[in-house]
Amino acid sequence: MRFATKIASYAVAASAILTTQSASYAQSNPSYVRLGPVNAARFVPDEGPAPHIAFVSAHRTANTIGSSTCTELAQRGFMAICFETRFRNDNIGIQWEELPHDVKAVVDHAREQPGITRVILLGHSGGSPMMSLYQAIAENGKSVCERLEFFTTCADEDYGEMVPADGIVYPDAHPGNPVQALRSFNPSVTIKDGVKTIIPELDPYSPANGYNPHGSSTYSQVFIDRYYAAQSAKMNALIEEVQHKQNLIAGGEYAYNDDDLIIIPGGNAVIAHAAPDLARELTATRNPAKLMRNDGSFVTENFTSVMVADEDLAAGGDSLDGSDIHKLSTFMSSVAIRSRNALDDIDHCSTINSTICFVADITAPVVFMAMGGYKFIRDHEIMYEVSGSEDKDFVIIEGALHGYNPCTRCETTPGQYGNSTKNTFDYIRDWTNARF
Amino acid sequence: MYKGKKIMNYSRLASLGLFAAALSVAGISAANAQSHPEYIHLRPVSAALYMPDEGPAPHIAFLIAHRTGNNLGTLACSELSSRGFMVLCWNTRFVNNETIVNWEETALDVKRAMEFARAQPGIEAVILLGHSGGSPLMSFYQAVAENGLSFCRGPNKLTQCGDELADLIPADAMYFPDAHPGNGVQALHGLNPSLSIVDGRIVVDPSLDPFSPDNGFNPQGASQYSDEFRDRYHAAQAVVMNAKIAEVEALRARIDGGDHIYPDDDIVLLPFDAQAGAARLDAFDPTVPETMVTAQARKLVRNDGTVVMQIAKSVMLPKPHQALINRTFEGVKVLTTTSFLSANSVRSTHAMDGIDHCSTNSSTNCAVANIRVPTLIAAMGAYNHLRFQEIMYEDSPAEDKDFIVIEGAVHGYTACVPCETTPGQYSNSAKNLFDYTAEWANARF
Repeated sequence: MRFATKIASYAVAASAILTTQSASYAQSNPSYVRLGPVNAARFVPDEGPAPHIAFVSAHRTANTIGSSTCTELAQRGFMAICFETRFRNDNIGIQWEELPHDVKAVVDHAREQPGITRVILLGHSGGSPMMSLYQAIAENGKSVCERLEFFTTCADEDYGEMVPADGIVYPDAHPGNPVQALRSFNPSVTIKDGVKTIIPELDPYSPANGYNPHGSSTYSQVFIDRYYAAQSAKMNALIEEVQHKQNLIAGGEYAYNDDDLIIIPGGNAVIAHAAPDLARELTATRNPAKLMRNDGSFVTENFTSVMVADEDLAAGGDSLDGSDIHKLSTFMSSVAIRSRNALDDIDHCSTINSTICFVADITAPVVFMAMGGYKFIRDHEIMYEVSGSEDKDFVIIEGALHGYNPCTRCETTPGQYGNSTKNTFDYIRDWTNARF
Repeated sequence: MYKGKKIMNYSRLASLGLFAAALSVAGISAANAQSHPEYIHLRPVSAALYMPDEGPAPHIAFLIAHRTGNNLGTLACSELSSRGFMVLCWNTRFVNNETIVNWEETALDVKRAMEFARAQPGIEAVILLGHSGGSPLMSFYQAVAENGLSFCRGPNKLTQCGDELADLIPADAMYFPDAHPGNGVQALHGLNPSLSIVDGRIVVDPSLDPFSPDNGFNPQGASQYSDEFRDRYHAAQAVVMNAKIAEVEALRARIDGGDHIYPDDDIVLLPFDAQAGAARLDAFDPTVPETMVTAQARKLVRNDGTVVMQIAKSVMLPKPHQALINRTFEGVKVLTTTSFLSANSVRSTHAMDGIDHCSTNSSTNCAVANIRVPTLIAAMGAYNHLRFQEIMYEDSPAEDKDFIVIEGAVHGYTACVPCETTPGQYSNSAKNLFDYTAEWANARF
């Protein structure tokens, strides 16, 4: 279920998990560590010198312990601690401002391990805004997430002393969950009082608008422009609706005195998934960038993702399974974001759930690694551009999917992108060892 | 670091289970101190494997899980491994998410753990540990394994199991440290039948209000509900649950008939029922005999380790603060038609003595009545499942069955310190429980 886990949580890292079981068994015997509400597994190399660098990796809700990430890192000589947050498997209940507690617990644990002198955060997908928030607070103090322009803040949290990480790697980060939500809203669908209405001219699943269930859709630019604007309008309307209900609650004029539920139907209606060729603003760089090719060599070029359209994006678009469900409170902390256009006019710093906002406040060495068979190419380039670090890097891994594994559907010759996972972690290894 | 200051956090901890007491008092330190538990990914199950630090290689394995709670570091993992057993503590695919539970699928996760345990070198016997929400989980698996698919199918069931539950490998024994009667019964007992929502506002029926002093409620201490009120209240709980079942079954029929806005499922809210704010009367009046007292003299394991036969009465303290949560959204269970019908409902005519336990597959009482392997049931003497576990014991067809009550233990096994009248009065509760368990298991396998 999308609202629960399947798309929003598991799927983001699912592709990274393809090699999970065999690799997990083969590598070491990861130790289970319980840190309050956090479940963690500590991986160490099977052989070689004792590691002095520890990676810390997690997703906000998914279980990444069994993903390939920690195994791949341990095989390259690092300690790697993968963990589940207190919001494991729970997209409805996630209160964003509580997550830094969990990152802190694991970072502190990592620093306590004998021989460890450096700690690096790994922010993949939903882990990227979480790790960014932690590091921004650790480097700048809690005031960084107390600014009034945020819909919700961390003002009520007492994180204690947060020790900054020594570096951050972002293998396929995303810009933040609110941006993800914004660009996946289906603005054509409304359900009110049990009645569903669809605005035909905004329907992304309508062949009349160019939808193709069997390949890349052929939306007109007029439709696309209208759609991105409508996604933004829908987000703004939902924010208004939620804030109105919260005001009623605060005034004692609501059935419950604390919270309620909000259901957002319509499926994962992302233009870039239906028609990657028509989303070049997101799937291509604006400037020449470093591309790590499948053979391990590097070129610098203007890059466009080789991503192909999802197969039948509309499947599930009518279902509860394809709906986003939140509490009012979690909507405001994990979904709400100000914008005028879902594509390119977003106020990233209106939410504390934003990779793009907080990388600007982070000065530790950082590398942004876009997967070349997925959709976050321009987002990574933006993160790189706005990064506050003097030691920053940006690389694209050719033909890699969101979970690092090869996009075989994108290949024109078999095995064309077969090294994508290896290349991703080799690059992380070399980047890390060159610095620490 | 973890403040847990918000109401929702209490709710989450409560649903996680479990038991916060066990985890925070002794669990965390014990989990870290004991051995080096190994993380095992048994997709979709995540698990931690605990082995004894020393001594002979174990030949008995315990499997520990909750349907939704996080059990990887729960107290029983380290306590049992330190007594010489292999222990696999694991989380189901539905960990931390009651909304998405599809009850019958949980047995597939037990199967996954069972197959792992059976494959471990030296393991000759596997014992399922069913604590709290783990008790209907483990007992459901075992009842199906022993009796086949007929156990989980039939016109009396709110939901049916599928063919994928055929040929499950049964455990060698069952161990229930503070089992509860099942999630459906838990939901039934938690309902507040005095409340309804009309035109967006909560309406209270004063005659059924458990939080009215007129009915015996005491916001400062122990309430005292009359026999007449309790009987009326429990009958009303059954009426509310039955009405909800009818409503959801009608919704389910519309969905299946293609006559609903969603073709797959819909959200079902069960207001005034979530565990943190449950309106079960024994939370406010811990003397009620329906749940808090055994009907007959039973084995009571006293703090000094001696065992006496006597009527056991819970020493649990009242929890009047639950009343504050009952009417909040945190007191609402957010479910779907699937999770409501499969795991959070049960048919009844009366919430205490008129329950059709076998109307749901999420019922410890029903399952235990169909399990024949050796069974140990251990009620915690400072909680609220004494009588229902005694009923499990009475109904169990196992030739080798045992029932004990651990003096002064909370749901998570540790001592109920606030219940003590002298310091340390119940300080051995967890030790006594696991010592008894180890002796019981070693005597049989």
